[in-house]
Amino acid sequence: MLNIAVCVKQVPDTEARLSVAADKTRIEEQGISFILNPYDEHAVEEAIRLKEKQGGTVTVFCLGPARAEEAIRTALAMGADKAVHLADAAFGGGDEGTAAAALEKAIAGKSFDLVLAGRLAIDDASGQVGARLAEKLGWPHVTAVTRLAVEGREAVANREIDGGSQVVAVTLPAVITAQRGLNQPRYPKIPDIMKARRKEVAKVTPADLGLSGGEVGGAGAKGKVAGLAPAPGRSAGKVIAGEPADAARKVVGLLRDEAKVI
Amino acid sequence: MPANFRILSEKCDGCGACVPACPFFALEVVEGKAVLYESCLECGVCVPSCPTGAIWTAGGDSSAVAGASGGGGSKGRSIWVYVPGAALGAAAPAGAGAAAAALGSLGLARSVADEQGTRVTAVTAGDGADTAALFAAGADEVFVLEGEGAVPALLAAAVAQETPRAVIGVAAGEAREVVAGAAALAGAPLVAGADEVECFGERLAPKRPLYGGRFRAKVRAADGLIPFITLDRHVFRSVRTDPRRTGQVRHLAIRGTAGSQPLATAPAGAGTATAAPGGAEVRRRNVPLDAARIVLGGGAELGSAEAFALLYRLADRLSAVGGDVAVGATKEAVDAGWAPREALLDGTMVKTCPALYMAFGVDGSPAHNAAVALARVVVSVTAKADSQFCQVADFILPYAPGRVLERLLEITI
Repeated sequence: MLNIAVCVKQVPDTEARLSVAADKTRIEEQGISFILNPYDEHAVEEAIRLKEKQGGTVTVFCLGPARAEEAIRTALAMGADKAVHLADAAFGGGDEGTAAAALEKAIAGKSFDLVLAGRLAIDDASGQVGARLAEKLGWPHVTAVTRLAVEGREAVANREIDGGSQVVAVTLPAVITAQRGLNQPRYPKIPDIMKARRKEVAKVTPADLGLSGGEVGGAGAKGKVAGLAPAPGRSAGKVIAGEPADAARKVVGLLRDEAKVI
Repeated sequence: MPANFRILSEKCDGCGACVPACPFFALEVVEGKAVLYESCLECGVCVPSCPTGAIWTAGGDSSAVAGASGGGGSKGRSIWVYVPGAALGAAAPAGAGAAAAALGSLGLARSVADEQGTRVTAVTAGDGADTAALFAAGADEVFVLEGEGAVPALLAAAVAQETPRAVIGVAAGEAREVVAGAAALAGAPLVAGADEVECFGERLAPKRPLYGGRFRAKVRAADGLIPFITLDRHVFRSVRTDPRRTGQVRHLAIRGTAGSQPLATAPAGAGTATAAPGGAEVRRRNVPLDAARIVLGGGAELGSAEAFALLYRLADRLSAVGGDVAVGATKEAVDAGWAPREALLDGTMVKTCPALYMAFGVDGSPAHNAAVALARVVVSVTAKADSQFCQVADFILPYAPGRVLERLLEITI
């Protein structure tokens, strides 16, 4: 029996055309579509597979505005049992520290054996919440995991490091964050999507978690995005003309002799 | 209000030239006039940006004020760089980038410390680190953390004890976990994956990519807190080493402080991964996209799985002369089943930093372009004159990508 908490986030679609909002600290949300963070999909999938093998429950935790319920429903349709949505407006505008603090209050003391989350959310790509949450809980953590085996009170995880991978063992309860390759997330089927609509999504406020307004969201944040700008682009290059065979020969020469990259 | 700076509203014409000049976002134009906020540190950087001379300074000389702001009470506080013992020890995986990235973070700290007139302290835990390499890469001193408890708790307690100016690490592997964990315990902000760090007086102003590298953000830490920063491992890699440099190694005994709860209550190994029995097993895999020296990318214009497969043949040929080669694919090519999902070039999922990226039939979606934005030399092969990707390529071959691939395979490279 494993009681698993999965932390998920709703993020802009990877193919969305993004622009900077008028206040220059956020992207413009109008007219873009949102998805369940792809790394979190791996975390949800892994939680469901563990439950299917060993029994137990999967509870989804999500901090985000009302629109994020769509991502929660996706996770429920994949097979999670229920969800807790930290949807109150006071949670908005925070940083990784306030997110981890709120999630810790929601998760601690509920006899979870394991917290799974994505390695990072693809929007701000900070990758801190998992590690911060673990420290707040006082649990061990392993990040960027590509393989996970849970047996009894021990989890053995393959963690990606620069230039290779590393096998590490931790005692449960623990926090594990998912890297691509951990599994192949399932596509929910229509009946599962229908069933997910009836699953419980508890809406939680800071007060429910015993947090004051100053400890959450923008009011509690220690780091703030103070300016956001599009990344500078590159300038257009040199067209190599001639017949394809000549052009191929020419570009190989340029790459070898001038750019010295091959 | 800052004591030594003021906006002269009669001179200010609201042009806004000062706004981007301020590293601390203390200037804004409100209703046609510049406004100076509390967050002004009186560094003076904005003064020359004003074309009408509307920024008044008490000294009348901006450089004097800027100098003064660098002389605060924390002059002696050093820049800390956390280096995992294993990154530079004998157990480091052969040829792994971990050592290069760890030394790169020391190099960045060295240049910051030189600019600010302070020291660089390499901080490590356990006995694994090669201290000579740390000194050579720019450390003035090495602290070895010793004490009961997990590394993040030790680091957080040491930060509380020694109050460094900033704590820096690499945004990869163990350092990423330890620095994030320590920041959580210290209640400090962490700017993760910074790709640029500027100095303004004693302040560090990091910038980091967002949304898969399509945007960049300046992040501001709340006043009075020690900022934690992790660095993009691809950006800070080169470092001028000097093997003659030496320094002191100090063993820093950390006592459990009341402020670090997990030290007392958590089971051994809390907060970070413990090694598997028999030591951590490290092995190399097929060249992943983000570790390759050369990346070949294929897109819809290739037209068939057979044409896409030519990329793998070219990769084999190039790997004989050019080192590690990986094959990537656009979303269209993956959706068509020509390449596995692992090959997807999407900046939100993978960041490549090859010396050479060759794109065959790639039209350049924002997500794709972000994935290859760090490539040094870019070649685009496409018969489509309107391909977005040609805007960013160094060399453009305006032909059908499949035909060029066939020609390339005929040439001895």
